[in-house]
Order: sequence, then C-alpha cells, then structure tokens
Amino acid sequence: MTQSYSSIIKNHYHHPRDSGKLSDYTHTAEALNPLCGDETKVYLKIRKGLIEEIAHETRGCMICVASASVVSEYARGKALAAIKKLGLQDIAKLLGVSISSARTSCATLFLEAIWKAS
Amino acid sequence: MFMLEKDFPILNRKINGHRLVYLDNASTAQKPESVIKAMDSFYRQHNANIHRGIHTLSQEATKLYEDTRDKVQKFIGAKHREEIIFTSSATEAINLVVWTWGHDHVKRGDEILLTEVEHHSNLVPWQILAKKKNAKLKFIPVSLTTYNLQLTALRQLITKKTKLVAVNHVSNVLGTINPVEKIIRAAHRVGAKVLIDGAQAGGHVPVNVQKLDCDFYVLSGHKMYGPTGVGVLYGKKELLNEMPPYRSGGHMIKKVNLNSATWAELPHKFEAGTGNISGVIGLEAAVDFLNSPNPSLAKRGTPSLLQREGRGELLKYESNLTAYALKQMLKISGLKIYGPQNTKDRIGVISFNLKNVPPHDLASILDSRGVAIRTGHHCAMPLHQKLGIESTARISLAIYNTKEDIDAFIAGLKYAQRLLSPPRPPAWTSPKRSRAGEGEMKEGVNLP
Repeated sequence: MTQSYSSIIKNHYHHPRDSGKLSDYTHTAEALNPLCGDETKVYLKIRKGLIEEIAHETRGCMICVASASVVSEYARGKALAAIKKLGLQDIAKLLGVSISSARTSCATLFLEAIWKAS
Repeated sequence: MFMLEKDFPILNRKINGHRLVYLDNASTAQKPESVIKAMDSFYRQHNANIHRGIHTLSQEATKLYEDTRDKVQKFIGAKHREEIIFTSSATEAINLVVWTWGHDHVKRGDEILLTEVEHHSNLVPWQILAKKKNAKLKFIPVSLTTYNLQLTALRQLITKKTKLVAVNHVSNVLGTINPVEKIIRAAHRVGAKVLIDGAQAGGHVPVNVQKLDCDFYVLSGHKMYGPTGVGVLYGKKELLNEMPPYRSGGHMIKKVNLNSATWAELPHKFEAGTGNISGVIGLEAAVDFLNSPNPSLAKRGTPSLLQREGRGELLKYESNLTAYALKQMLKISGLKIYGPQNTKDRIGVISFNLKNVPPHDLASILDSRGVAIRTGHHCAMPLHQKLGIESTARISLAIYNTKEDIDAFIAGLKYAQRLLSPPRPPAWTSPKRSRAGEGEMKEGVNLP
C-alpha cells in the first residue's frame, strides 16, 4: 500500500496545533523513532482523569507531526482513559487517510508518548 | 541503456503500477541473473557441506566455495588467497578485527582514530572496545564546506599512542571517496594498523589492497551485486596468523582434546561452523559479473566493468550518470545536497534534503511512482548531528541505472514539492498554540 496525503496532513504539518511547552503540566514524556529520527515530547495537564491541557514539541516527518497535532486537538477536554485507547485506525480517521505499514510507527509515535507519560 | 533489463530480472517489476526505478543501491544492490542462477544451481546440483566430505557433491561444493576465494583475492589484489576470510557481512568482518586484533593490541590510554563520517558499523564496535580497554577514540573531522576529510588535522591526530586507524573508503552518506592512501601512510609512520571499510566502495571503485598497503579491508557482498549474508575480511597474512580465533567450533580446529584445542591454518581459523556456502558461491558470480567480459558491454567494445587499472568503464559510466543527477538536482529550488556537487572523488551516492518536504514523506511520494530511495540517518547519526539535521533523503546509483531513471526521480521530486509544500496563500496563520483552522479539520470526528 502506498501512503496518501490529505489536506489535513499538509495543513497540520505546516501549521501544527498545540505546538510548544506547557508550563503547568502534570505529566510529560518523550518518544523517539530511531529509524527516521522522529522525536516528540508531550505535556499533559490532567485533572480528575480529564485532559485539561495538552501540548507537544514534535520534530519529524509530516505524518508524525500531523498526528501529534490532530491527536492533541482531539484529546483536549477528553478522558485520558479514552485517549489511551486510541489506535492507528483512529489516527487515520483524524488524518483523513489510511496509514501504510511503512509509516505506522510515524503515525503512532505521539500516542506512544502519551502512554509513556501517563 | 547500459545494462539490459534481462540481466537484472527485478528491473521488470512494476511498483504501484510504475516501472521500478531503483535508486537505493547503497543499501543493497539488485542481483544479476548470473548471481541468482549460481545460487539456484548450487542448491539444485551441488548442495553439500564443504571441506568435510569425500563424496562427489562435497568436493564440488568445496571447489565452488574455494574458487570464490581465488576470485576475491584477484578482485582486490591480495597477495595470498588465505588472506581472504568469508564472514556474514562487512559488519561482522569489522567486529572480527575489533574482538581479535583490537582486543589483543589496544591497551589503556591507547588511541583509535576514526572519522566523523563512519557508518555505525565502523564506529560502535570501536566505541565498545575503547570503553572496555579505557582507550581513547579520536576523529578526523569532515569539512562542512567541501565535505572532504580535513587531513590537515592528521599530524595532531595520529600520535605514538595511535594503535589503529579505521576509515571508510567511500562515505555512505556523502558519496566521497576518501584519501585512504594518505591516511594509511600517516598511520604506518607511527606503527599503527589501518582498517578500511570498503562496504560502499566494492563494485564502484577499483580496490587494490597491496597498492593501498592497508592492513585490513572489508567488503559487503550484497552491495556489490552479490547475495546478502556474505562479507569479506582481507587481512595481511602475518596479522591474521597472530590473531586468535573470533568464533570457535567446528572446522576452525586442527586438533581437539577434552580440555584444549589447536587452531586450523588460515583462512579456516576464522571460518568456524558451516558458512553461507550458497552466498559465497553467489558472490563469485557477482565478482565474475564485475570482472569478466559482459555481453552488453562487449558490444560497445569495453571488455570489463571494473577494469584492473585506474578508472574502469563502470566508474566512468556511474560518474557520468552522477554528473547528470547532480546537474538535474541542482536545478530544483529548495534542494540542498550534502556532499560534493561535482564528480571529483565521489561516487553516485547523493544525500539531500528538500525544503518543506521531510525525507520520509518524499520517499512515500516517490514510492507511489515506483521510485525507491532511502531516507533517515543512513546508520551515520554522528555525521547527521554534525550536518545539523536529523535525516536526509539519499539516492545511490548502480550500473543498471539510466538517465531515464534520474528523470523519473526528478519528476517525482517536483511532484512531491507541488503536493506537499505549504498551501499558498497560507490557509491560516499559526500563532503558537493556535487552535485555528478547525474548519479544515472535519468538525467533530467521532472516534469509537
């Protein structure tokens, strides 16, 4: 399967949402993809099981950066438990395209950081 | 076309509906029909273990295997056939030297000199040894303007404490052919030994180990049109003789008692266990392919791909194609090449980045058009750190590549640029932590 690119990926890569640090975070973690050098760091402010605030510093390919951007946007205000249940298919839905097997690790890197942080 | 497609059956593949344009040859080269046939024929006609049996098949298999040693000896100009050791890879060949010669000779306070442009396989094993022995690693720097090694630093870097210098013949990122002769001479002046990592040179640059006067030279079979799982270690006979075995077990012994054993003569001392017999036989066909009269070339009046002396036909062809690729790439706005922009002392390994298009995404787009390139750090993270980038895209050329391949690649680059560059005019501005642009996001995507 080849990898397609949506306008969502393009826009979220060139203009990532929630990019930056949170000063009052309660949880944080980094995830690294040694194959391609993608790096992401998530900051979470969690209260009573809810993600009140989320931000990330992500450096990498379009799929990786756009995934961090759309997941951050989606996660704000939602239960942490629900976000931790997200998988590849959910990210694909948020990005508006299927993710090829070669790019799975790019798409799920941000989720990995969330799992690690919490 | 330089090579007929029938010589390389995989070139007839369609990838995502397109003709395969394979530009990832520095990772591994495709295999000529003759290599595939030689391995197939071994299993169909001659399969047996080597050096063990009296029966016909074993004799045939042994002869095929040992013939390869003679071919490789000639291919790299070694003095003795037993100086050729078959390993599982270039990586294993380097590890062999690290854990035998290195372990015996590198002591506390000694220095090992490498370069900033080594593949991890010629860096990490030395790091582990240096840590174990409390030895010091030093590095010949690379110039960020010429991308060549800065040999002016050699005088300070090579000292009486230098025990070993390990350097690649050709950089797998920059494509540069390093001035290994000068480095070898400088190292020998202080009595240091020199290992040359020829993984990227084999099949692209003529190699003569006696002329180079290197102490060790390693080759990767699969990067020079041979099969995977085969590498070569060349070592000077007197060094190999004094080195202890690397792996022990069957075949590498002379006599075994319950509590002790003595070692077989070279090269067998270093070839414990049943080796990759079919792979070695495949490598013979690859060396033949590079060495012998080739039908496609004979028609053009050039008898050998890789002539013994100087710049052979292969080098000339690849050099011309590299010049063409560089010229076409430099026409693309926002494209930066990491490596020399001319063909002097370089091969067709070209790393680059394209503004606004991360390498991985570029590779995905090119793949959708049948063009195979490599992206990432190419197992040279420290070099990428020095270049100030995480990753690069890389094309690497081989004998079967053509101008049409380069054109398809260039068209793919332009297509990726059009497809993935920022929307113009910008659909939105993006202040930090902006939540703008939700209109573009499907509002309220429902996830289970």
